[in-house]
Amino acid sequence: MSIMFSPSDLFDIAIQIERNGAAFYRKAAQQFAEPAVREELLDLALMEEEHEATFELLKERLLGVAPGASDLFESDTEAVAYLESFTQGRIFDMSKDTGPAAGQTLTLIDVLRQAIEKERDSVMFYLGMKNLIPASEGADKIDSIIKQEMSHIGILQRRLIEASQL
Amino acid sequence: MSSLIFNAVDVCEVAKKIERNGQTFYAKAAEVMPDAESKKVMLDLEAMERAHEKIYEELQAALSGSETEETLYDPHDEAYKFLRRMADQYVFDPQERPERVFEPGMPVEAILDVAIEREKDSIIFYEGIKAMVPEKYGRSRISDIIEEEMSHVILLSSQKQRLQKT
Repeated sequence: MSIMFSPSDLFDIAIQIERNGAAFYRKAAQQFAEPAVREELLDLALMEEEHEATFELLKERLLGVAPGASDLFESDTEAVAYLESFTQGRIFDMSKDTGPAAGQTLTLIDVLRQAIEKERDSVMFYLGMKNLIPASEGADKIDSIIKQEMSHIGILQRRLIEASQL
Repeated sequence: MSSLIFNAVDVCEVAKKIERNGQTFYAKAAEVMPDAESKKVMLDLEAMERAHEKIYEELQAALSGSETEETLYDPHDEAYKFLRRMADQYVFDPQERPERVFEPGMPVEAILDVAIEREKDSIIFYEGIKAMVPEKYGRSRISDIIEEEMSHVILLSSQKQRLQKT
């Protein structure tokens, strides 16, 4: 059975992804004594919080101006099917708490790998979202968030290469 | 490919390599799928990756000799750095052989998970390429490939769900 969702639901998921991302980076930062590493992870947390705020604004705007914002998508399109595979947790579980569990110690390499995976999954979701949200309702903003997440992947990969060479 | 020389033409070379790896992967996966439907899906995916390889070949021919061979369109320079790192360290690993992911007795579900991960990686890589290639040299064709890779994610996750139920 398919699980239907509305444009507003998509923003809720995006908000949750960013919240999870920020929580992940904050928890991860606590594990490292080296100030440069902590600072970099906390910077990434801040950027995810900014994205969260952007999605909140976009959602508010959408609910304010679009009467159908809470209507379920009815069309059986590939774009809907793509996002359904996320909302059903088949691609990744967005409801799962993130970051190292209490008592668990991750190496910097573990943290960087997990972070790259999270950034990549968020880009995957936003690409699908961009296909369903009209340009007038913030598709361009979603595009700029995608670009920022891509640059996070670049930063994290650079750090992963450095850490792997230590 | 030397990491000292890396331009849009080289990026197409990496993309072709990704697509060839994909073809090998899906051909091998078709051999171990448990029923006719899942075998067909794998062979269809193999054919689609072959078509993508051809598109990158055409794109590469169009880019050869153009100004992009010397200078990349990358206003933030981030996409270029990102792709170079990804190509050198991750995707374009000369040691990589796609058939190595098939260990004897590997569960079908695990093979489909690997396929989904590979599709995600290629989508991220092509998003990076898109930022580098000017529209007149075929940026929209890269967007089309990304859309198709997104549809592969749906196909693979649907197969995984179907096979889990049987």
